[in-house]
Amino acid sequence: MSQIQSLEEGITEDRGGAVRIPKVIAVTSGKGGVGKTNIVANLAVSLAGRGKKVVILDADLGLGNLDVLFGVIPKYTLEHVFLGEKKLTEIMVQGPRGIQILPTSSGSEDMAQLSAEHKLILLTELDHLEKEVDVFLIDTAAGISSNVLYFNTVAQEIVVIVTPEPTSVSDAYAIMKVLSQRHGEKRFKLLVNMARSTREAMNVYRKLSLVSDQFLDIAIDYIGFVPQDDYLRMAVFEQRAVVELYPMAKSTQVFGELAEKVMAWPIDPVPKGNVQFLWKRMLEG
Amino acid sequence: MMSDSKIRNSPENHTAYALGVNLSEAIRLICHAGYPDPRLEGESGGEGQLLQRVIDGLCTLSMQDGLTGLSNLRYFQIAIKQEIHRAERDGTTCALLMIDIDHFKSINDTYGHPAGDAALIIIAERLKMGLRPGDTISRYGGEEFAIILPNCPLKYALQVAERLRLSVSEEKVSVAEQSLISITVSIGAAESSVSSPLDSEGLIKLADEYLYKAKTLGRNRSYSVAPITSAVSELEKSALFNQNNQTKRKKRKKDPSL
Repeated sequence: MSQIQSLEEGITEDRGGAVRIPKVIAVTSGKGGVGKTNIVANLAVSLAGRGKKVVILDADLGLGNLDVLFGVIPKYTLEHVFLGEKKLTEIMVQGPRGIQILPTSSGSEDMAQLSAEHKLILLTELDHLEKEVDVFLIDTAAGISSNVLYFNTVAQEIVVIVTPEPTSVSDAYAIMKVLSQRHGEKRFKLLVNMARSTREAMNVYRKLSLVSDQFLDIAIDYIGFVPQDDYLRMAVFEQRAVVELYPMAKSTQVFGELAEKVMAWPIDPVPKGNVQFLWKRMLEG
Repeated sequence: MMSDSKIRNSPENHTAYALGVNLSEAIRLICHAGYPDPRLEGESGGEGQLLQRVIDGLCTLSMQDGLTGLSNLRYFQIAIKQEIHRAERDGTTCALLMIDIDHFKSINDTYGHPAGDAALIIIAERLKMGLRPGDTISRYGGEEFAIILPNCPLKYALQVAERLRLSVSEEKVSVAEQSLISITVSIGAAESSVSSPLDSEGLIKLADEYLYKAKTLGRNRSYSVAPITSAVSELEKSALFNQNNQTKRKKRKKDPSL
């Protein structure tokens, strides 16, 4: 879809006044340190730059450093909401371009097994959350904990980040395998990070695609690659999104294209109403 | 007097070399200064055996933490390298636990440093009790301990970690007269295995990272992230990396020295 088309689509959505249906996208990698959080941050800024209202669920608190990337530090997490000390709106952190970050505590609270009391607290709090959200990006933690799997299964789309490094390829394969065999997830989008060339990125995709064809019943969609880019590194040091800081950088262009693709993905046909559906789906399972 | 070469070949002296200490020189100085261990006097065996015992004693001292009696950082750094090499060779998994006492500073501040020392000794003892023979516990730094678990996959290492954590917290610690306090620890666990190999620095860094995470999540807990490569079968692995293996084989064939 061309840029103009999707921009127009965005505008009609905004002016229509109809209840928006958010896209819920989990970004996962299996292996840590493959640049997952950086990609989430830049994709969010790119989407926000295209007029989308973005909320990031930071499920990788502590190690993911989304806060560091945006130069903002969350004081509280979902844990404080459960303890009744804070409201959901109070724990949200403001990022650039109206992006809101919801810090969850990935390790301490098992989201798949919230107590009835905690569910009630969350549901009550949800009424206060702003309803007009276009895209929910879930930054999952590394590894294969029940929370990582859980956040992936509540999303409509699962974007798997992989680098050409063998351990990353193997871990990306592993997370897709576990998600398909234990949770029935069959569709994955693959984004190759830190590739030196299209060819190298395509090689990674081909490898994963071939082997999964042989052993797993899944479909992998290649959605592109983020090249090794000095500007990206420099932006990390500046604690800013490269998209904001270096508009002319190669990676900025790539994230722009990626944002366009994301906006063009069809929305889950099941009517879900508003933001709360995500949580309700999580809570009611 | 034992010859230098003989001393150099003694197993204890490997550690001396690792330390960069000329142990034989040090021992000669001690002996000639007339300070042999008085307990050894009158025993049979002559000068060679006496020297050997002095060496043993010195080695122990140089590797031990004075307060807790655990091995010290110096020993740990040698041991972790050895255990990782051993695991590599045997195709086993070596796990590392990094353990830190929660709010240790406040124990020192509230009850004084002797109380802090007493706490360290008791915690060290409790940790030591929960280990298998062959596991190595060291005092890594101030209130931090490191435990090497050879031939122990992460899954079991986490069970060990939880057991240790509970063994510390379930009983209050008497740090001074009439001062019975609850002490907890946070633990980070990591492994180096065939499927996700790490060098000693990488393993320490990872376990430390998870320890930090355990702290930020509220302390008194163990934390780790399971490397997920175990979900991938050997067959899948060889399919994933088939291309690489082929190119390697080709290169090997070309190598004229083979």
